[in-house]
Amino acid sequence: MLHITCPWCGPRDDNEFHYGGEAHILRPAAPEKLSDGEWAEYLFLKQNAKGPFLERWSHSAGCRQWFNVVRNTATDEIIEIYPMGELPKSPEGIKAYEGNWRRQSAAEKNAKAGVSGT
Amino acid sequence: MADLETLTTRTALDPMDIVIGGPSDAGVTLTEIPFQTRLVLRGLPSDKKFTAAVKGALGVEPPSKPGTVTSSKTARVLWTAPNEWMVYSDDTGLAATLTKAVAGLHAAVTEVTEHYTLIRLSGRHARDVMIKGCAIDLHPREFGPGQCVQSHLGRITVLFDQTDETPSYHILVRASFAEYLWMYLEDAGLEFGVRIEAAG
Ligand SMILES: [Zn+2]
Repeated sequence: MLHITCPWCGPRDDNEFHYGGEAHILRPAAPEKLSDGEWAEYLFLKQNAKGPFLERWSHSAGCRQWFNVVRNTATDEIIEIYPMGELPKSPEGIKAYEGNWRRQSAAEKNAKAGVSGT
Repeated sequence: MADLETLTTRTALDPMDIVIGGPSDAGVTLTEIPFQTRLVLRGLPSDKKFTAAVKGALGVEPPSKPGTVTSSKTARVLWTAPNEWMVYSDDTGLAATLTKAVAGLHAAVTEVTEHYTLIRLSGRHARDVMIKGCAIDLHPREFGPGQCVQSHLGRITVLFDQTDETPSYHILVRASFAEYLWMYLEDAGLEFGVRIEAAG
């Protein structure tokens, strides 16, 4: 069994948590400007990493808070736990974030353009 | 249509027809504490107006440290999330008092009394019964009075706190899981002897 350290409650068994899938998927601000292919990429394509992966977990049987985890999908080693709305600080986490194909995707560029007010 | 005049209040465990009694030297005692006022309080612990308003109504500030409990003559306040607490009290009017106290602030009070029931498990073997179905370290070195935890007990989600060194645990369980948990605790306590007590 995996032990996950909730940032509030401390280490707990993994059956107290719900998995939230890949972290840092930004919703496009102007979806109508995306092609069907780009929209489908945003909706359906996930990073299927072997190695450090950035994902969301919720401590559903405890404090019900969401947080981010850098987990090595091959070894289940948990490398870093960090709050929602922030980016990873560990070298493995930064590399996984920057190396994700999504950073170059039209959907993410669209989302970031919306955030900066265009 | 139901005759509202003759409806009687029933606890979550009423359908079980629990018989009070059992061996006097039982290792654990079980008690249902029904209808105690239970409120979900939400607000920002960083908001001094909020914490002061809560203290005014409950006699104590809500705990900011995860997994801890603060208490006063009026209420016991259990940490359940960074901006949420469970309040226990014998004051049936407390929902109104607390709602009034935090009015106008970024806060919410929700009465959840009948959504749950509270089961007290007490006795020299209470810890042995708890650890059969709970992965939390309840050794006195790690867990004692004034601490609470939300976790699994017998595979269901509960909130419990330890209230004395006996030890005694107050286990908050959703009404629909109450019969299951009661039977689970009776079964888990069988080897130590179980006495059923009425809420005093
Ligand atoms: Zn937690």
